[in-house]
This record gives sequence, structure tokens and C-alpha cells, in this order.
Amino acid sequence: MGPNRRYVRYVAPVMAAALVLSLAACGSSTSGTGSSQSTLDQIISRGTIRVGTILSLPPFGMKDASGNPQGFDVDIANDIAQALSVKLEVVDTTAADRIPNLTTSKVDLIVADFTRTAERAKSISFTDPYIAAGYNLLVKKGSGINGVADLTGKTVAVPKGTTEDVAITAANPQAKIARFDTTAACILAVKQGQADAMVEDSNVLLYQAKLDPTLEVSKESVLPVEYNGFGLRRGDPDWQSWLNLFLFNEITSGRETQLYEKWFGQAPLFPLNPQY
Amino acid sequence: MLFDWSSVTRYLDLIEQGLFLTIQISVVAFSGAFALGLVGALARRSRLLPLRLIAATYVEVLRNTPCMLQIFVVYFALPSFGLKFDNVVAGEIALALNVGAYMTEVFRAGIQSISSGQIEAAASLGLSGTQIFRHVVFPQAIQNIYPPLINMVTITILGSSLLTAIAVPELLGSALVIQSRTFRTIEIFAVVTGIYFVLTFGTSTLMNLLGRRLFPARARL
Amino acid sequence: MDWQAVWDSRSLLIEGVFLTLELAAVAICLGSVVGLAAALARTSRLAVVNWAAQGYIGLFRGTPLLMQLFFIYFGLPYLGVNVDRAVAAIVALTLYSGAYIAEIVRAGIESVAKGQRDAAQSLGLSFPQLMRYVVIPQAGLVTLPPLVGFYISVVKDTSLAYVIGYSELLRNAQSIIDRTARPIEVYLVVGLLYFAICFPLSRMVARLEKRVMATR
Repeated sequence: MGPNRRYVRYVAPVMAAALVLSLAACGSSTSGTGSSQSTLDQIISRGTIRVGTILSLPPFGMKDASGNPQGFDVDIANDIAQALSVKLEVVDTTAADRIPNLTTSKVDLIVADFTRTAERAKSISFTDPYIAAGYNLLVKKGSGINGVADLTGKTVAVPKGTTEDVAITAANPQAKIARFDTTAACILAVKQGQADAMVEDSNVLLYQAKLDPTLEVSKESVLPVEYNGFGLRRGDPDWQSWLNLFLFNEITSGRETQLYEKWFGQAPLFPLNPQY
Repeated sequence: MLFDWSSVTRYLDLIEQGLFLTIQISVVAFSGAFALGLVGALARRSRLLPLRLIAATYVEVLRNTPCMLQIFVVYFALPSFGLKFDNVVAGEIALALNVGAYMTEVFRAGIQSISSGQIEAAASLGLSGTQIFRHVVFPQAIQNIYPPLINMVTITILGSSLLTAIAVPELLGSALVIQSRTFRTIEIFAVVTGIYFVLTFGTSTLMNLLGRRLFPARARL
Repeated sequence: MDWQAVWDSRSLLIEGVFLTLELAAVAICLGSVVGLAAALARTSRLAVVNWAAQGYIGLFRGTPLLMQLFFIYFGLPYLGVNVDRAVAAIVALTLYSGAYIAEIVRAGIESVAKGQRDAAQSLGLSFPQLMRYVVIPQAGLVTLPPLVGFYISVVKDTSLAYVIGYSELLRNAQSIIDRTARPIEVYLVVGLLYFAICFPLSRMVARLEKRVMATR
């Protein structure tokens, strides 16, 4: 075997790989979707909608004993799929990954207790609110922690990438902040005594306090009431207006209240009343 | 492709803190692993059966279960048994235990490879057991196991990234927090990947150089 | 200790075991191919090929697997390649395994004394013949224990795929803990499951090591 054959043997595969890679990089568009077609049309023609939900945030999203997604957000996503006559595919995400999952087109929609903030709205779009929440502290009964001021020197758990993560950092710089990947990990940390408190949507906290009598929710709230909506990619007015119409019907028909009572066991803490 | 490097430069102090914590955790955890490895290897070669069994169990359990699970157990499960450690300490303990199991086997192989002839000769010269270990066995064992030792240091540094799951603000955890604030992925991940690479490559290169100076007879590393 | 809650979720645990084994098997197969290719590329006399392989191996052995998972899942779309979590997990684990396997294979090849390789070449054996008749038979046995040992780590490393939302045993375990609030029971059972998968493989590695020792 002469030297030329050796060149071909080694160089060819490498050059082929390099060629393929560069074609892939240049050929595809740099933006996520690269299509001017609305997500609404894409979903209908595809026959499936991919919804990102946090399945570690009971009772908004969790897995049942067989591993199937269930929860308040899952039921809402089901209603959306039915209204569109498509199949639902639930994509498990964490709070921090909601926006990356959306901007990289891995999901068409985020239904995950997603708070509308101006900062986030620079990267993605929000619909009108679908649920409102206060933010309180979850602590062990008898801990004596009633509000943000009591957190000085104490460990407070928050999920990464949430509004409470940012807020608590500013609210009490003397608190020791432990940032976990999921709300469930925060709850476990409080239960096992690794954290003195955690901050989360008050809807979630009341549910957890009901499940575990050793826990209680603080009276004082940490953040003002926040309005959570669906998340979708920017530049998609058709999809956004469809979703807003869906929400209007969902809320005014009482379906949203019905689902809330099913999952949280009580009337909504902050009822929504959309005006025409 | 629009890269927004300000998303990284705004949070340089977070990255710095993460880097220092990663280094601290790696040093503490590896020191613990080294000690555990030595003790474990001696225990496995002990004449006492209970000691051999305990050491063997320790090694097999920790090498056949995932490190992530071990970290969760130390941090989330042990408090129920009265052993509560804060997240950095829990992480260091879990990492030390995990790498220590591998170090036990590394040391065991290293000690075993020293021919018994040397030990017998030393004994016949009147050296006590401890002296034999200190002057004959240990120096040669370290030389024998030096390459896998460097490997274990790298594994410890990379293993520290798992601690982000128990809210330790080390390098990877800081990268994830920055990502969740800026919503930009590639820039921060590229920077942190680079830092990890420099850390591991730099450490192994330094250790290789150190080895060449400490063990001039063994030029091939 | 409440074992009923864990027993009720057994289908999730069994599913987790299968998902873990599935991911590990794919990563091991693909990773071995990639690793072999990289190891061969390292022996090439072409500088470009040699350096490219060295770069790949160095990068994937010098950075955390968690980082690689995030990068491939969230970073690739910026280069125009969109991957779902299964593909991302497979690609990341494959590239990671390939780098380590390449080093293991290289160490095995180099353990065959250079004198033998030189002798073979002076006898006129070509590179493929050299590999087939001299290197692989001798290197093969030496490479097996660390190789199988690494395969065991791949099984354990699948537990990291949970960070990109991929469902495997550890993620399912966490879902069960979320629902039942019984961390100790679940961790114990899951630990036993991983142990049951990995320990027999470890025993095999120990036996292989004894056989290697016998030939030396």
C-alpha cells in the first residue's frame, strides 16, 4: 500500500465529516424556527402540540404512579389540545429551562406557572394571565419565621430561574440562598431540615402544607401578587391571539375555577375576572 | 450568529466565586479520598476478616451506584438519621467517599505490585512493620500509581460539577444561574467549558511535571 | 419505613431500569465505534488527523459530562441543529464515552511493546496486518478490564441525563419522592437496582483482570 492510499484512507473521512458539518451549519437558519408560518398553523398541520410543563411542581405538574404527567397545568394543556383537535405531548422542563426550551423550538408553548415579567418579555411573549399567585414562605411549624426579615442568617431554598430566585436575593441580602434545580428539591430540603424556608407560589405552598402537617405557610408574603401566563415565542401574533381567546373562554366559562378546585382543593386564592 | 458576551462579563464575580468553590471542594474531597483510599487498601489486605469485609463492602457499594445518588443520600437522606451537613460539606463528603472507593483499589494494586521479596528483605534487616511501610512500600506505591492518581484528581474536579444538584454555587451551578438570568446559553457555557478544560488540563500537566521531578527514575508518565 | 408507597410505584422503577439500560447500551455501542475511530486516528501519521483526535479526546475528557449534556441540548440549536432530549442524551454520552474509550484503547495498543511493532514492520507486514496479527490479539485482553469497567460507569452516568429532562431511573425515582415524600425508601431501592445491574459486571471485570495477570 503506497503513501497515496494512506492519505485517502485517513483524509477522506475527515474531510467528509468537515463538509457535512459545515453544510449543516450554513444550510440551516440561525434562528430557531426559520419559518414565517405561525406556530398555530404548524401545530394544526403536524397534529401534535408540544407543551413544556414543570413536572416537579406539584400540583401544577407532576407524575402519577405510572409516570404519566398530571396536574393543573397538564389539564389546561389538555384543554388547549382538545380545542385545537390535536394530540398533546408534554415535555418535562425545569423553571430555568422554560425559556431555552421555547427559544430553541423544543416546545410550542409553555404552561408552567410562568410569571410575566418585563425582563422575560424581551426574549419571549406572554399571553394574558391564567392564574395569579402570591409568594410566601414554606417553613416547618414552630420555626418562628414569619416573613422576609426573619430570614437573616437562615437558609432559604429557591428554584433556579424563577422570579422568587431574583426577588429573595434582593429582599434580604443577609439570608443564605440555596438555589436548587426544582421546586421539589426545595421542598425536600425544608422537610429534611437542610433549609429553614423556601419561597414559592402560594398556591403550591398551601397544597404542600395540606399534604404535610409538619409544614406551614408564612403569613407575610414575599412578593406582590404576580400574574402568570403562557409563554410562547416572539413574533407570533396569530398564536398569541388564539391563546388569549382560549384563555378568555376557559376562565369565563368557569372551567379554570373548576380545575383549580380539583387540584388545590379550594376556591382560587386570587380569582381572575377578565373584562371584555 | 449573534453572540452577546456582555451576558458573561456582567457576572464575572459569580464565575470567580464558583471557580474558587470548585477548587476548594476538589482539594478537600481529594484529600479525603486519598486518606480513605490508603486506609481502605490497608484494610483490604488486613489479616482481620471483619476489616476486609467492611472495606470490600464499602468499595463495591460506592463503585456500583451512581455518584449523583450518593450525593442525594448524604444531603437529603442522612438528616433523617441525625446526620445533617450543609450542602458544601455534604458534597465534599459524598465526593470523598466516592473517589475514595476508587482510590482504595488504586492503592491496593500499587501496594500489591511491590514484590514481597523487598518486604522480606526489609524485615530481615530489622525494620519494623511501620518502618517498612513508610520507607519501602509507600514511596514505591505512590510512584506506581502516579498516572491513575492524576486521573483521579481530574475525576474529582469534574465530579464537583454534580454538586449543583444540591444547590452548591460551584462553577457549573453559577453558570446555570447566570443562564437563568440572561436567557443566553452558548456564551456562558462556552466560557465555563473553557475554564473546566484549563483546570483539568492544567492540573494534570502540573502533576505530570511534579512527578518528573519527584520520581526521576520513572521518566515515562 | 413505608414500603407500600415504593411498591405502588414499581412500574415507574421498572420503566426506569429499562430506560437506563437502553440509553447505556446505545451509548456504549456508538461510543465504542467513535472511540475506536479516535484511537486509530491518534496513531495516524497525518498531523491534522492526529491533532483533531487529540482535541476531541482532550475536550470531552477534560470537561464535566453535565456541561456536555447542557451544551448539546441547548447549544446546538444555535448552530442550526435542533435535537430532542433523547438524541441529545445519546449524542452527549456517545461523544463522552468515545473520548474515554479512545484513551483506553490507545493504552492497550501501546502496551504491546514497540519492539514487536517494529519487528513486524521490518518483516514487511502492512498496517492492517500489523493490527490484526500482532497488536489486537495482545492488546485485546489487556484492554478488556478497563473497557468493561468504563462501560459500568456509562450505566451509572446515564443518571446525569435527568438534567435535560430525559426520563431514566434516577429521574423516575425523584418523581416518586415528589409524590410520596419518602426519600430514604426510594433511594435505598434505587441504589439496590443500580447495584444489581453494575455489580455482576464488576465481578466480570475482576475475573478478566485475573486472566490478564495470569498472562503476564
